[in-house]
Amino acid sequence: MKFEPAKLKTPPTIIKAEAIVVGGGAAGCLAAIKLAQSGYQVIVVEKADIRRSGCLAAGVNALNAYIGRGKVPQDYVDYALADAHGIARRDLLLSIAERLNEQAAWLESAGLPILKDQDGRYAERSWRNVKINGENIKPLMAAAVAKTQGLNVLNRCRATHLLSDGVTVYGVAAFSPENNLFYHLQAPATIIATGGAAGLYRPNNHGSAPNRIWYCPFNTGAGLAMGIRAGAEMTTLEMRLVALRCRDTLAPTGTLALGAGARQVNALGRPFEGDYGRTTSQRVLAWRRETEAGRGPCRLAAEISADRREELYRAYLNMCPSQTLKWLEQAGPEPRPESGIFAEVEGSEPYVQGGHVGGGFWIDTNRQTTLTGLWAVGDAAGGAPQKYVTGSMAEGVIAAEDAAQYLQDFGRPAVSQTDQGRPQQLFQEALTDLTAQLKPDQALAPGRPRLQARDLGLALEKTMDLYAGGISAGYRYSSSELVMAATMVAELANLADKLSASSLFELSEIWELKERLTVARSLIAHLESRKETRWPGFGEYSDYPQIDPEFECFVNSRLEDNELKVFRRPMTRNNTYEHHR
Amino acid sequence: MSIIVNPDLCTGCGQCVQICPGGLLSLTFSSERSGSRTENLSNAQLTQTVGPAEIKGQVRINNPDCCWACAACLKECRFGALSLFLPPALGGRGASLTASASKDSVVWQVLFPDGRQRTIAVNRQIADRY
Ligand SMILES: Cc1cc2nc3c(=O)[nH]c(=O)nc-3n(C[C@H](O)[C@H](O)[C@H](O)COP(=O)(O)OP(=O)(O)OC[C@H]3O[C@@H](n4cnc5c(N)ncnc54)[C@H](O)[C@@H]3O)c2cc1C
Ligand code: SF4
Ligand code: SF4
Repeated sequence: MKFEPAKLKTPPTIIKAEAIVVGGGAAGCLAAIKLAQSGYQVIVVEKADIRRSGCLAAGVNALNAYIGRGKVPQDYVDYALADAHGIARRDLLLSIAERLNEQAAWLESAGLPILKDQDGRYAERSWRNVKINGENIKPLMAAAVAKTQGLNVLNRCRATHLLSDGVTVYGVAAFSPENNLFYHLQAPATIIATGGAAGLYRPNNHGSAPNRIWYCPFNTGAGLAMGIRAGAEMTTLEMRLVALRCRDTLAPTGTLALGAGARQVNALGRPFEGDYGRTTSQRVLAWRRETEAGRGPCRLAAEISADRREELYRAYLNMCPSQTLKWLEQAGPEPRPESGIFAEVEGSEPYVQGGHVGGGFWIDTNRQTTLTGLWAVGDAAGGAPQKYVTGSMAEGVIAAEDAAQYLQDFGRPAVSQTDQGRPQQLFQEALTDLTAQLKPDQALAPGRPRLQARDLGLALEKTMDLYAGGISAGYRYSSSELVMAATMVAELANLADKLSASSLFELSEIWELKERLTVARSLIAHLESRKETRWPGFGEYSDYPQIDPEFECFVNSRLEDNELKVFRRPMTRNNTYEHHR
Repeated sequence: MSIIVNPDLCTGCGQCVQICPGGLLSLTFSSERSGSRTENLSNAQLTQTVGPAEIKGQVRINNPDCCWACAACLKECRFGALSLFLPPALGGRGASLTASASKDSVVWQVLFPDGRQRTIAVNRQIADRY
């Protein structure tokens, strides 16, 4: 039986606002606060609860993007560009860099403890990096959101569609399994802040702990998928992040390395850092090459006193408690007098995101996407690696300022006078798309296998792992493997369209799978199109193992009539970039 | 698997259900606990549909495999009913971790398989030295 939208128990809830922020993470919270402070009515749609959602749920260990003493924003731009082996947007990096320290100060005023030196200045872990107690960072942001007038949060509500005619965005469709409701959210301005995409590749841990990954497993690339489907342009998805982390727990390593001064050593006890270069990608490569040469396991080892080790335990409890638990399971209940600590390292499965690397929406300097009325920020936005928490927040603020300008130009009265027919029709299409897979009454065929979202998700991860440069493939892929990956992902996408859900909870599992499949399809096309190996630590194209100066450009893509068009865009040299519509 | 519930301590207050970033937790009602029915209800809905006096629920981990081990639920539970552990494949050897959070501190406790404990208190107002 087909589920008719008209037969919904409760009709969809229609909410009108001046701006919608999709995703209440680091970038989304700041965008929403800034817009509301400018006097606009803002709705934040958040699939979890903004007090503990997204990448920041467990806590973070430092503010990784900051302009330290004696440095200027341009230094940050130069650093990030070099680290990305040239593939990054100067305009985006500069506008972030100019606002990083404001964001740190904002966090401090919101209650975040930041370590100070004797002069009362922030104590720097490196020139780009300040020390904090980041355990409570998300609740603090949420409290600031709660205090802001004109800002409403819809927790436990997941956005699924951009209401767009391919040119303009009129809002989003969303649903809440917990409240058993569909939502039609209408606004002239929409900001995508849904983070990046995990769950594309087979992870490090299998069996009972597949979600013990580094990136937030609940960021399933929703915003990217919505944008791709609506025809927005994407960039640099092929620059996947492979994160070098503590083995088993996938805990961050910065605290050990930068904070406690740990060095990477191979099984012979020889430090090998710098042997392969010092960019993020080269550091991952170093671990791989050492391991491939039979000199693993590699570890991060620090010679610290027993007291300082206790401090390290606390620091890890503030962001990845599993790592402290792991150390204590090894050490036993009594504090040990001898000095030193270590953690074995390993590379994660690849992620698509724009917070450490450059994958995401193609945006202009003001963070507008190629669709009118749509902005993208934080891990969902591409072209500006190394933004981290403060950079994501900065992008939220930049987008909010531009959206405020847009709303002002748009004219407030026009909000209620917009042609209501258009958004309504687009919403009905989205609702039909969603409810087509909602078949509560469908009987199970006895003795027949039932396809489930979860199993198709495993098939996707396996496909990507084997044929698109996952862990098992040593992060290597070839043209013929990518063809295989593309074929299988297309097949899985067809199967996903046929899945049926008996509740909105099941529908959200199906929807997350579809998001991952949509991002995977684009990712494969990007990997195929950059015919070189620019970031060998993140992945190696077997057919093209070298850097090719021809590819000193962006690889972008757009869906046109359900065909994925991949094309190149030249490097930008200016401090501003505008779309040419 | 990463999280376990101590049924003796869980009051069914629903705080952890609200906070989990993956929406992995829900409440079951005592009248139904013996049966197999699970209601996936948010806290707000519970108060609306059942009324606070009647709630004798308990938390249920719907998708234990999907846990990220972020420990948000541990810190949210005021009754110490939740603990985190490492599966053996990740280095777990039978210990578990609980947390008791207040405005100013989080007191973490590791319980070892032999019954011994180790407590680590973290002051929420002090920045890490690392
Ligand atoms: C484990 C880890 C540790 C890190 N440590 C540090 C650190 O120490 N220092 C540092 O500076 N940076 C750190 N980072 C990076 C930093 O956390 C991110 O760059 C930053 O949080 C990105 O902000 P964001 O708003 O784009 O994404 P997020 O903060 O992840 O927010 C995305 C939000 O969107 C929501 N969402 C997703 N899909 C939907 C949907 N369909 N509908 C509605 N809402 C949705 C999510 O629930 C989430 O709330 C770390 C990242 C990770 C993963
Ligand atoms: S585990 Fe704790 S927070 Fe969760 S419902 Fe039980 S008592 Fe409440
Ligand atoms: S540890 Fe985090 S992901 Fe796991 S159940 Fe608790 S809140 Fe959810």
